[in-house]
Amino acid sequence: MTATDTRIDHQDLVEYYFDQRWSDGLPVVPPTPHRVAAFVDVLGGDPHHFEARIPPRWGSLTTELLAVNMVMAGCKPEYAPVVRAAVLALTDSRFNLNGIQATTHVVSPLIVVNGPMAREIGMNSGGNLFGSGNRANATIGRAVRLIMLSVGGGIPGELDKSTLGHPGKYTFCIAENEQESPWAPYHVEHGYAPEDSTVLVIGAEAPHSVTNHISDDPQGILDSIASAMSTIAHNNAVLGGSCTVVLGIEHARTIANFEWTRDDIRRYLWLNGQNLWDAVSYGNRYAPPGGKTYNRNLPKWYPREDGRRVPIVFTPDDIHLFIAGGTAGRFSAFLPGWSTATTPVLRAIDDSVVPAEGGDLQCSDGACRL
Amino acid sequence: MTEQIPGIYDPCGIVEVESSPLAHRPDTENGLRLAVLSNTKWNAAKLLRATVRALTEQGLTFAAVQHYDKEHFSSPASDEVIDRIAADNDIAITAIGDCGSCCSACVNDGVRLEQAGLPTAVIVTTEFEHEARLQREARGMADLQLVVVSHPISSLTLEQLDGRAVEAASQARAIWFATAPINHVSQQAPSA
Repeated sequence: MTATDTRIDHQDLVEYYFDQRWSDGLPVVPPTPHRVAAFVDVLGGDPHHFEARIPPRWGSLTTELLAVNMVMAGCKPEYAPVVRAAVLALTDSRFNLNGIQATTHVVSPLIVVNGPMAREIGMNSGGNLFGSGNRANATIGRAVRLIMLSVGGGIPGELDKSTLGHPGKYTFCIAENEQESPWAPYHVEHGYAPEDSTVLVIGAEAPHSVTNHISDDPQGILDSIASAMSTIAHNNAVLGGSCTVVLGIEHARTIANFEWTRDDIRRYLWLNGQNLWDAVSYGNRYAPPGGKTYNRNLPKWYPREDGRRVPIVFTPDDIHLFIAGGTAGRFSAFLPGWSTATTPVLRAIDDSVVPAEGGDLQCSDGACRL
Repeated sequence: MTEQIPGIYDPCGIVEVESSPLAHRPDTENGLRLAVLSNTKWNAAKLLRATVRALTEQGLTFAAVQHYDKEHFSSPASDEVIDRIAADNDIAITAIGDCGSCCSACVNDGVRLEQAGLPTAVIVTTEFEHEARLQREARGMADLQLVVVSHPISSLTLEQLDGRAVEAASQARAIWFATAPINHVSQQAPSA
């Protein structure tokens, strides 16, 4: 490619972006001045505005770079506020994007959108929630990943050392199904007004499907979800942290018919999503002879005795609950998290919106705000 | 944005980082206060204790050896721990970067300790050496030298850890006292 080439045809451009390692393995949309400008306009008009530094490379993300990566991902300009809010949430120090990018674990940031914005830009909160086919879901998640790859330097084998990865590292973005949910949405549970739009970013493994087509009561359904939680296979079991539960619509309706609240669900799951200490400690097989495995990553108040059970996360508030998916099929999903080294971050898409303080809350799950 | 090649947008942007120099190296090798910072990963503390033993067996003497733990191996050490280490010690050693996030965090800790005036030996494993080099550059300290030992560490016995400790000890001395570089283990070396 010489400086005298003034035109590169489209297919050569696609190949060129592949060759520079500016792709997630799929073809990108080559940016043009016109396409980039459309996004910069939506984002406030100043291409040089500093947005954030993206670890672990600590590249400086400007508004123009945000636009470039969104064009490459195939976004529409109207998605820009969501992508920006997600990036700002990810670069909140509490999230520890540096660790999430670098880890050998599979974890990838899951982006959950709440509020009217999700509907306005045509996001999917229903059937095939985690699957393909919706432009907003697919490209918002993809734009965030491309930023993490390029600006953040999270290139596999270099600063991204994930041993296995998971498909969510292509894209991992959903909306809660607020219309079909029997309860207040997640963001209202966490202090926002229903008319606010928010993004949550949370480190998550790939969804583990939970089937239950038999139970017609809350306990039966939630026992199935708890069984998916009660394993030492995931990071939460040995490292704590936060996790995600996506309750399917049929399951949600059954549970709501018994007048259970979001709070009841999370507390039941916390109480029943447990492992025997014998399993968590690997039976003391790797402790010094005659000694016991302590595991200082778990809190000092966990009962470290054979036969006792310990929860997979330290509090019910570490279970982040969403109601979503299609209206037919008795399935829910459990998504383990990474560890206590990351905290999920919830952020309004409009910077001027702040959540309510707890003082005026008459309810624990936001229902009174509806 | 200037397009170096017409029609091409580089999506990576620039890294705006100020380079910082390494800490001044001590004038003497013996009688120093050594800080030992464990990131609490499995076998990190055992490896560090074995390395300190190997150093003293090699004839090095310390005025004090003080042990510190990080809150979480996947996050950088808190400012409070860094400040406390810097105030009370002359040189430092930290381990273990044998996973993605802990390697990144160990390198970040090493950079901050050097910035605080302490020559620091950061122990990573062969599988994470490349990541560690990229990470030190991103933090503006391309000259930070690393102690590299054969991967893995977490699954080793005490006896095997002693072998890694000997590898680590000689590299640590070279880093603290800026002597000629020692050839460390490459990724082609067989693990014990």
